[in-house]
Amino acid sequence: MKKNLFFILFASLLAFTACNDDDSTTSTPISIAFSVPSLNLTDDTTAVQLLFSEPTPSAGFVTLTYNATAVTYGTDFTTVPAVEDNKIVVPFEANVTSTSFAFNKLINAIEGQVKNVVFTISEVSFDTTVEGNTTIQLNFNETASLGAALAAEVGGATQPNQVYIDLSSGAMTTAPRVSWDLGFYSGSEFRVALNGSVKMSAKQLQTTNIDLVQEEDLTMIIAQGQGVANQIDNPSGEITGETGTAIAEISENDTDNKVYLINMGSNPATTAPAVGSEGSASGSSRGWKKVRILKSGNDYKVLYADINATTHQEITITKNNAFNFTFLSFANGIVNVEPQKTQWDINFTTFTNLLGGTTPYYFPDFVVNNVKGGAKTYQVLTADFTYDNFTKANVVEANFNNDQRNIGSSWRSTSVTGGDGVPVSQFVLKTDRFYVIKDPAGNIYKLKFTGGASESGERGYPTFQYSLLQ
Amino acid sequence: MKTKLPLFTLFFCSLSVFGQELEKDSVVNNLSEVVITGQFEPQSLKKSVHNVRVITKEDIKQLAANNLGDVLNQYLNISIRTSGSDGRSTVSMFGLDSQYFKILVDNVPLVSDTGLGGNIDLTQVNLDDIEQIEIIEGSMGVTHGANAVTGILNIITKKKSAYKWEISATAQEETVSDEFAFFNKGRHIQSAKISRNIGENLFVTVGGNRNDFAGFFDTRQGKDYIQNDGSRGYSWLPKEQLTGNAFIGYTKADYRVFYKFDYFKENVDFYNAVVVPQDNYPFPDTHYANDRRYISNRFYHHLNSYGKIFSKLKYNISLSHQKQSRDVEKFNYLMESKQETANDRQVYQSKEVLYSTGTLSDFFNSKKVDLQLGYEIVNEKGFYDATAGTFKDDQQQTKDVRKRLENYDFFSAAEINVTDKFSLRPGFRFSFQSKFDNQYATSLGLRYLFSKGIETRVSLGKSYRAPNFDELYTYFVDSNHDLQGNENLIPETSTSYEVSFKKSTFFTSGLQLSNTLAVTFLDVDDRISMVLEQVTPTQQYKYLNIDKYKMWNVSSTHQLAHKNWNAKVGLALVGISQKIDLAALNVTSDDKFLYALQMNSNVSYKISKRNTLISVYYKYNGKQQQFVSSSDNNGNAEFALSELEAYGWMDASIRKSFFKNQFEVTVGARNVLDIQSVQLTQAGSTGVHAAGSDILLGYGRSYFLKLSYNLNFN
Repeated sequence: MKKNLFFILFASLLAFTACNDDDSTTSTPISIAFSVPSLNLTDDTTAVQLLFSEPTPSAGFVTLTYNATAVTYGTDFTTVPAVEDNKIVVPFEANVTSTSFAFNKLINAIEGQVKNVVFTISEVSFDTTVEGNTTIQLNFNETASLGAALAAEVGGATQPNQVYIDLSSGAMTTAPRVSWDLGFYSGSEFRVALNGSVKMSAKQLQTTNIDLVQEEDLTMIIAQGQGVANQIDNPSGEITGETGTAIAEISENDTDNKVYLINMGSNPATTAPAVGSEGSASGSSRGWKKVRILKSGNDYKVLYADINATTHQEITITKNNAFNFTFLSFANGIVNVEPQKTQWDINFTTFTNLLGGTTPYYFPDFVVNNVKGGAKTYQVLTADFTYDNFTKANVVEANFNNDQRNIGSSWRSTSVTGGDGVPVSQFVLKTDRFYVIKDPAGNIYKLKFTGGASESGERGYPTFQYSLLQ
Repeated sequence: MKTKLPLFTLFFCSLSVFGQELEKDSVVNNLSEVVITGQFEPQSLKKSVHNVRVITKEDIKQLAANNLGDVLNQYLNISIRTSGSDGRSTVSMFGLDSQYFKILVDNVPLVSDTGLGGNIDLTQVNLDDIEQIEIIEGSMGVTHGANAVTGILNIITKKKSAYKWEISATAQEETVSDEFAFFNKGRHIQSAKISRNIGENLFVTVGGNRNDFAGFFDTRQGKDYIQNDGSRGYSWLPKEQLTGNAFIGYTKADYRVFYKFDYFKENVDFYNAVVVPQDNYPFPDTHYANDRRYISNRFYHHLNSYGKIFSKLKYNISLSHQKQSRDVEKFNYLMESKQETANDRQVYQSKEVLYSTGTLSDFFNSKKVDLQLGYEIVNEKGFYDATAGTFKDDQQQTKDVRKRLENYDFFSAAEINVTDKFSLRPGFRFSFQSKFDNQYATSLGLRYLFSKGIETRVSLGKSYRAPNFDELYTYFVDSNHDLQGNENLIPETSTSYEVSFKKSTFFTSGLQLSNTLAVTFLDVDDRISMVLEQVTPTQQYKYLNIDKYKMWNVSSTHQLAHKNWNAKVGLALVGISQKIDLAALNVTSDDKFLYALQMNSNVSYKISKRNTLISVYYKYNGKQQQFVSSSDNNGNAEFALSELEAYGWMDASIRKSFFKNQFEVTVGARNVLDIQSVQLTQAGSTGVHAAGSDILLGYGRSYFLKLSYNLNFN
């Protein structure tokens, strides 16, 4: 009997130690917020969206209060559903992640007037957390955005696009990286920039005869640890002086304007690279050109040809002060690339940088700020301030400088060292930092990157959030 | 790190009693262990021509070993290489890795993800069912074919019982370093087994085992950690193993047949250190990581038949089908909701083997001469997912590797007993290969029994190691890289020589002594290495048969039993010479012999009145040196001496039985000296300490409690 008892005890001990307490999935409470903190009312009717973090468990209502500045409900604006008792009750269905109400603008503001309505979430019919954008400000005239979350469409692992971002309007402008070859500066100096996003380089020749046949010079190719520093533009964005662009300042005196041999760089790969790798410059060579640029009054005169040609083409390029550059494609003539110089702040692009000041080095996932248009940036570590707690009072003006690479590639790394000291090769978003950006109009934003790869690990999907400091 | 030597002093003092030896040669060795490996028929260790080392069930019990690695940690000449990142433990013998050492179960090589018999993960070998472990050092190509270069290890499983019923159950709780919690930390093992004799002839066993290793956190923070500072995950990955086995055997007179089935399943969880934030604007970020788990499944079938044909010839035939596959399941683990998404499971590596071996013996009705004829057929089907190595095509797209290897071997050995004392054993094997050139192996063994219990053995053996998938099929060629496997590689070939002496002595006082001395030489030629084959215009790397390896080894073991004491000590000096050729770099390593010392020891004391056994195991691994390629200050290739520091490994346990041995409790500690890693230093050309890193050996001292219940009745 004792034997059996013992065995039963033992069996239950076995069963006990064999158990695992399975991790139960925790249910996070549902949150609600406006989709954005501010909107400019460009249309007569605007849908104002509210978001739930999870599908709603049942149908119900969100109650909003409002506060109008220099406008009155009924005469200057109305809403659907209509306001009752100074509140709007917005219904929603079960199992949805958003709802909205309509805002009708009945008058237009005159420039300079401040007219807006701020809505605040006050009550929801089931238990929720109100977080994120708890209010929305609807502006009757153009006002700097209070913030948003954006995804720059650089186009995946081969990063074929340059994406220009205007924070104050939330506008994004996309241009294929291979759509242009040279940029002609619109400022007072006569300077010509190379397309560093495709690893172009330029070498001054001794001749002024564009019709002489030239040969490829493989030392100009930019590859790992290869390339010549003075054959690329100054990566800081400095355009003038000895260390400015690779092509010297265009001279009044035509005999000083030599022919340049142009390495056109590399195309993005045509087949997608393995997940986690990038293929922004592993495609075919874009070939070689020769070019000679002259001054023609206040215009540029460009002579260009294939390197083995004995004749050439000519094009005249006129400066346009609204833009930083006028862009030329050897194949397609003058092309649109950048927005107007006051209408972009940062640019997602691939980039030819210099390592140690001497070695050209090519970076995917690069971000430059519009230093020529007046947008400046600096980096803040979360060890000093958290993103959420950073306010305008914390901005240090002296930290802004004239380098366009202050964001650069510092927002990500391509490997991480694990706790066991073994490096893991993977796209890694650096979450220990964010950036302060002053736009050409003087609005100051804080910006944090929230991703750079898709959920499956494919590179070239950068996302970020920003918020106006006030 | 300190090494503790007082134990040895004790042993050597006790050996000085040698002088008072008494003539007692007539006493038959009462430790008449029967061995199977490399024999025509199971026979006593003393009669074996091969020098067979035996690890007994008792050793395994005293170590409370939960896998083969725990046992071999204490074996002389073997080092265990562990990896926290994939949880594997593998053998390194005489400085050669596990591809050169063959592991068999009941004479049939065991399948692994990547091989047959070789490259076995020791943690995947369960010890529940073991009768004893037999090891033969040296190249055993004639009896055991490919990859038996440094030696073979044969696990003999239990196939009979003296009782009608045998029921046993075991629970083992173990700390992992200082980490333990009943469910989510530490190691938890449960096992149960039932055996039954049905009638006169039938014996059946069914058993199961679960080994749940909850991982070793060390400085890491587990899977729910959301900071992106490299601390997420585990230092040693969590691993759960399940084994099930069944055995059915039928024996009648000279006829015996058995079928054995083993199922093994393993789940290893990899938690990425990289935390990826998920933008949920306007709501707060959530976090996920690209995690994965490796799921291994092994099915082992073995059908064996033994008997007589033509009423005289003895035959022994084994047929085995084995399959092991390792799947990788990738998924994103969401930390906030603790959910997995985007699960994607595919086969990572797999090996399927159809194997048969058979022998015929007893051709002559003579005690003087015996002849054995045998065959071995191996049909292996291997699969490597492209991500398991560097396998690409010309378009840089990844490419899976799928290959079949076959070999048909015939072997013959003779045992000639010239006198009762002198035996001679020549052997030969020829192997027809589908993929490589045909191979052959020869062997010669001699045994002479001197008076006064001195046994002498001499052996010569050959074997070969076949190139692996990485060496054959690696391919990565683009504008910046040129890295190629080589389908024209030939197998590495080895030759080994061993002379050994053994002396057993019995004293009237009851003292028993056993002393052995062995000298071994091993030579491996055409070793495969990836070298720079061309420097300009582009660098080309390729696997070539280019290096050489030589090793000689002197080892001596001493065993002493007196009353309740039992003690063992072993000493080995290993000298290794390697010629490593860097091909196009025109640099070749110094091939001088570099020496390392190993000692192992074991003391146990039995307190009879209390049914208690106390045992301590200690192994000392001396400083190991090796030439490794590096570059000097000008970036030119050179060889530098790298040194792995000496370290000691100690295990200790106390075992006590209750209720007529029905209930047994073992408490103890593994890795008592708390070794986690040892330093590897590498001298630069200037002699200055140039680089240092650590070699991982374990997760530190752990304590265990093992409870076993055995019920035997008729």
